[in-house]
Amino acid sequence: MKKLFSILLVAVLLALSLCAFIPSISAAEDDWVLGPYAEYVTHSGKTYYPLESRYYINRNYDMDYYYRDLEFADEETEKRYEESSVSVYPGAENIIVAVELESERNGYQERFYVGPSHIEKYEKLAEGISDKYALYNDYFYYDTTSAFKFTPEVLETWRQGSVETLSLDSVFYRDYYYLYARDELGAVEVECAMVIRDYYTDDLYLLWYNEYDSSFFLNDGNLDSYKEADVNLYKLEDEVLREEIITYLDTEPEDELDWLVVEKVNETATLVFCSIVFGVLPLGAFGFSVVMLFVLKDKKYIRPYAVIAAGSLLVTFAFVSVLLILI
Amino acid sequence: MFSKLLKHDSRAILKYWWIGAVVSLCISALGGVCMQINSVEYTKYSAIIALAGVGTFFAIVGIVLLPMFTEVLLLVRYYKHFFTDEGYLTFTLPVKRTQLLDSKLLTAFIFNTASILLVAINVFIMFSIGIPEVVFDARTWQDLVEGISDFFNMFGGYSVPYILLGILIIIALLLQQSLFVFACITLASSIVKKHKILATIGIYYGASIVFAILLNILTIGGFPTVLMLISQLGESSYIVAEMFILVGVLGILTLALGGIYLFVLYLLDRRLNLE
Repeated sequence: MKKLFSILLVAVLLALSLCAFIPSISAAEDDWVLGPYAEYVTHSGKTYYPLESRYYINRNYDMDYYYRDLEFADEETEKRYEESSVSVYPGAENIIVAVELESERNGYQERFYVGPSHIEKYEKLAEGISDKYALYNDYFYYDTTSAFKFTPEVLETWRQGSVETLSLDSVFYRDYYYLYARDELGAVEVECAMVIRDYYTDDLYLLWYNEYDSSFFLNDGNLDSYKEADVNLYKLEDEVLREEIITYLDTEPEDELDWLVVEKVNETATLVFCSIVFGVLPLGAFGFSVVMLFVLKDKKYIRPYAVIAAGSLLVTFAFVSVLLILI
Repeated sequence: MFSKLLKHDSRAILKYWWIGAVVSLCISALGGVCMQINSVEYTKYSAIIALAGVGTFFAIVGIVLLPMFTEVLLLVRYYKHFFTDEGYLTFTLPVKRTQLLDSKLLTAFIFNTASILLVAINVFIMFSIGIPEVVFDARTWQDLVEGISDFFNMFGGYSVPYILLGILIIIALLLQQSLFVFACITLASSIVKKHKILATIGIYYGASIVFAILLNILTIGGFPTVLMLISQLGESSYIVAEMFILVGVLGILTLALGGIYLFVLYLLDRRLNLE
């Protein structure tokens, strides 16, 4: 019998080990691996290359994605980065992934890596060239579906308008909004232009980054070297479009905190619940106490029943009074 | 006979309570001194400042411990007087069961109230020594009076009923708190023979959880909606409605008091096989 149990135990352990072994092998193939010096990322036999842009790349957090741990190709890379993970977009794993890296030297970085067959398209995007453009107002709360959308043709027409030239520094004293070039997937957006609004006349101007070689449009706040630089602002001549954009920029969504206020209250349900708890039950307790006061033989229980009766009456009285006030 | 019971219960508690009271008074005075030392700036004796800071902290803890000390004395008295060998003597006294229980309850109420008042006195002493420039400044008292006045103005012309209701609710809460623990001790002593204290603690926490769940059901069920509906009323109607809600709270506490009292009495009778 002992031998039989020993054999069974060994068989079970072996089976469990095999069950663990098989996923671990397949997991190894499925690992996301960061190449040396973060030059590439590999996964399932595919290699992804970094998307470089002199402009700010915005990530669309509305889009579904999931995290995976990032493995390292060698010890050197492992030592360099303290934390690492890759965000993958389901159904679009071949196209682009977002990698988060943290290192002592460079701090926190978010970089994008593109599959080889899509590099050309994303390199154009990195230059602010796309089929889709999006403008956000101040209220979008990271809901990228709420953007005002443009096509390249509309922007091209806009840039045919009259030009005003002024210093970069003075642009930031006006109302301005960022324009983004979007990828087809909707995963990333590259900041490629600014829409400036004249506070008094509601005229709109476009500042197109690609006209300039310098990197002063990078979102690092360091504009001191460039504040004297002259930039061209293209005035939007299309009145209909101007009205639409102004309406969009001024439209506030419904108050986000409104959900905290119960607008429609189920008064019937509340009334029924409160009537039972503060009306029927105390009345029942009152009735029970009164009956017990008559039925009791032992007088020492009179006082507690009297107190219960008094308490029940108070509760019912309070409930009825509040109800009358509300009515 | 009841007055004699009360006298003996009070003496039994006072025998140790006065020590706690004196200690807390001394601690509050020391705490005040520590506060004074702590307020000194730019001194090279930073270790003393640090010690004074720690001293202030422990003084506050010591003051807060007084009500707990009082509660422990009351519970020990209740347990020993009813459920130990002394209990055999207690229940042979020519007094009613209700008088025995009432005496404990009244003693608990008196000493709990005394503890709360003593805490207030201790705080006053500590601040009087620690920050005399604030405590003995006429403006502080002026601000306090203005604050109290503003508080009562919130109730419109109904400040007297509100004050009365507030006092009654506090009394009911104090009584209910003591009676609840007495009930836990009585139940534990009735159902277990050994480890009664552990059983008391278990029953106390179990019952507290049950009551908390019931309260949550009440709260989720309709209370917030009622409060929201009331908040939409005009100011005077709102004040009156809130007052009736306090009446309801008092009613619930009274109901609970009566129910728990009945339960304890029933358990005591059962224990003595008087059914």
